[in-house]
Amino acid sequence: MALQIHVENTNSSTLCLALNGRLDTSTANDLEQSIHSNLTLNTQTLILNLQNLNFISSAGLRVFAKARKTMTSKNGKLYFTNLTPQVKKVFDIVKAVPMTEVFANTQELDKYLEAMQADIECLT
Amino acid sequence: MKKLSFSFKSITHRLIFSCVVAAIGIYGVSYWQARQLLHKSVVTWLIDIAQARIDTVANEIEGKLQAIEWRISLLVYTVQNTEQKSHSLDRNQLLPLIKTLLEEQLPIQAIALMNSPDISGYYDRQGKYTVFNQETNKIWLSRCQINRHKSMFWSQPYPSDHSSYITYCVPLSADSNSVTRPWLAIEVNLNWIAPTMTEKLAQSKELRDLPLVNSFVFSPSNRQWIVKPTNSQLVQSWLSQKNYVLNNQQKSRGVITRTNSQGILTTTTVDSTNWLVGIAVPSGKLEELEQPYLWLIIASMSKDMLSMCVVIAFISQLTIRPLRQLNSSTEEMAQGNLNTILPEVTSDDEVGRLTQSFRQMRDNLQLYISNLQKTTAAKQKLESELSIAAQIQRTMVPRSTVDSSCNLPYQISALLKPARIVGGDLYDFFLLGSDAEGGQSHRLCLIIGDVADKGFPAALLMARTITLIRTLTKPVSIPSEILYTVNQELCINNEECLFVTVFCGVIALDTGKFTYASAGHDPPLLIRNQQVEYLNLETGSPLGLYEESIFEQSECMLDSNDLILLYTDGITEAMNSQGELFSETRLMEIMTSYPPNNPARAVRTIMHFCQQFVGDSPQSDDITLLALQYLPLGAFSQVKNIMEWNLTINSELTKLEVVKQKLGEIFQTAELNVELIEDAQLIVEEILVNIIQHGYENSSEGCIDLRIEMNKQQLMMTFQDSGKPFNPLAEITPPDFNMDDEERSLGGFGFYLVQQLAQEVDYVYLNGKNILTVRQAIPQTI
Repeated sequence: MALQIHVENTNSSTLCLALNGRLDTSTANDLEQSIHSNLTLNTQTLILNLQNLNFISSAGLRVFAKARKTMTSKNGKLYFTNLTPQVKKVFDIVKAVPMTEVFANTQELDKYLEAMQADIECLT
Repeated sequence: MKKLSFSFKSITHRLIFSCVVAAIGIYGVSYWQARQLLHKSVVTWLIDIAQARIDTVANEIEGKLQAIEWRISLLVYTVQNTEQKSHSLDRNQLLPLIKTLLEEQLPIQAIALMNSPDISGYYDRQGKYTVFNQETNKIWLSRCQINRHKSMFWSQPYPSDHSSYITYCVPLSADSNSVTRPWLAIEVNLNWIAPTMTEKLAQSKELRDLPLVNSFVFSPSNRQWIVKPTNSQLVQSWLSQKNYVLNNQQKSRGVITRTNSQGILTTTTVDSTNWLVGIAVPSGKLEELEQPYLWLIIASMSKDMLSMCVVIAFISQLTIRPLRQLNSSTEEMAQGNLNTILPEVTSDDEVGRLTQSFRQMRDNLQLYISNLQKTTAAKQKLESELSIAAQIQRTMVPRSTVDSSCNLPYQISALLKPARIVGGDLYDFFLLGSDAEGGQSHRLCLIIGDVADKGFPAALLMARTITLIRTLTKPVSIPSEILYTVNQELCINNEECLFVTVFCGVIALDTGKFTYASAGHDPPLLIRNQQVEYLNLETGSPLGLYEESIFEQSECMLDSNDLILLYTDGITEAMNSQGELFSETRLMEIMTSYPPNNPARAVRTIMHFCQQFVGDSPQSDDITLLALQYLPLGAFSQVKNIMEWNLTINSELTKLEVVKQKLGEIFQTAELNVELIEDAQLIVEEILVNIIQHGYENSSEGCIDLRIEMNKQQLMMTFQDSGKPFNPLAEITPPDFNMDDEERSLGGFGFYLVQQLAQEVDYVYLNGKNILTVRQAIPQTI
């Protein structure tokens, strides 16, 4: 398969998908269906690990945009990690995703999430 | 005027309606005749009765009057006898006689003695004798008119004191001197006439409706009614008609009846006084009399009609019932249920026969349907076997488009289309080793063949031939050897003399030397630099006919990018509805006008024009096309530093992966850097998707030509398609960078990416094709 999707769940409210391969016109549908079936009501955070994603085209961008919209409607968040150069280039050109939602690696993301959690706890 | 039209829902209704109409006509005529008859009968009968009665009445009146006459004459005779003796009237004798007469005869009102010199006067009923004075004398004289008569007579009637009177005058002496002759005048009351009439005309109970009220007694001499009829004016007018002679000259005997449009008039005369006694029956009364009988006739006729209608309705229902049953059974059969029960055949008439034939038809139909089902099942079985056979045949020839990687020095595209489900055409291509001299390695063998005829028998020979070729060909074989060996094998046991034309060619892939031989098959076309020509060859006889056949070889050199086109006569002998053939000439024309630059293009172009030519006519022969392009230098022509790679992409999104993969391989071989490769792949994907979705609107019929030219500085990709005119530069607006626009068409982001990644993007619409050119800069390695 040109695109492989691994589900890595850290906890019940976070869904983490690792994408391997190429995300283009022929594989975009697979990703869309996978996200749709893996998202639960509880999921507040969707993390897409693009470490092994070598290629993305506009079809892939569309899927990402849809996923982001879905998460926003649930008051959730969508994060991207470990962008490869081609994907990064495309993201830059298109300005598809705000830079706050893109993280270079998983550790940065974890730090960020912890900080967020702390903020929320502070408030409550 | 609108035409009235209505139809009957049932035979019964129609029958009843027509019977009623006919009955009305027939009965109408009968009624009219009956009416005439009735009228005549009634008139006759009425006349008969009237006449009889009138006669009776007249006689009665006559009798009474005559009785008086006789009495008077008796008296006069007595008086005359005495007179003769004494020559003078003895008054004393006379008067008592008169008195007696007066008392006896009730109708006599008064008796007068007239013209007697001393005793003129009259006796009245009370016995008083009154002498005539001047006045009374005159009255009496005027009444009697004795001057006019010579002997006894009845005077005319005259009214007096609410009744009519008449005077009978009798001369008393035989003296003929009228002036001095004494007369006896007897005044008679006529009030007994009316009761007499009534009595005589009284009806019996059965005839109480007889209109005999218009009876009358009329004196024509002075136009006086003695008994007035109820409708005197009518009778008077009647009597005064021309036909009636009312003067006294008509002395008719007997009863006369006159009938005219106004009615019946029966009259007779009373002789002594010339009175007219009669009965008038106006026609109105007649009708009144007839009316009840007419009603009776009508009622009877209506009853007849009604009963007839009822009977007809009943019988027709009886007859139609089996028809109705038949109808409902038939309706059920029409629904598809052939096992309905048909009504019993109860009678031998038309309905019965109809039921009988229906039953037969139903049975036959059932039989026919079951036969048909069996036949259809057998046919379906046969067809499924045929389609399996077709599948097997398809596996016998190599795949139609070789997904050659760009390293192969050739590209092949092939098409085989049987006319029936299985066919007799064949093609094949496979690699051989070096030939016997060892001079050429890497040889490619091309085969195309056509079995005589088509369909199943041809398919069997095709299978045999293609297998023989593969089996008997050795790695060192050359075309003439191949054909010779296969021919030997096919000639064995070939009583049917089935034969197959075959062309066999071998390309030495290193040098481009093309060696070929033909067994009765047309030579292939060579397309070089957009020029088309036939290859020269001497063809031998078809395989399978003559054992000793020899096949002469020819050879030529192929240049890079040369295209060889092999075909069977299914193309050149394709026929359209007017019976014209496609012909070699047209084939050459098409190849010249639309020179293909890759094999797939070649096959596609020829098929397109052939299909266009044939139109709706059925395919007359199996069609086979095999196109080969010689690409000794692979995809690259490093001599010119331009890689021209023409691939024809079906406008199906599923091929995208293949294309991108090939591109990756090509670019890798060209030693481009990874980033450039990725960009190029992205560009190609976005543009191809655009073309397929916009230009071809997702139909799977179009094709796209991609030409890649590369030199040291630039990578140029040209996309050509024949879809809708679409200029992405103009018609795709740059995206909004609003993340919520995921509904925006793919082209929005996609083309933007292309523009960003490429150095230059150009578009032109030329000759019915969209031409999009994308240039990427190749980063120079320092």
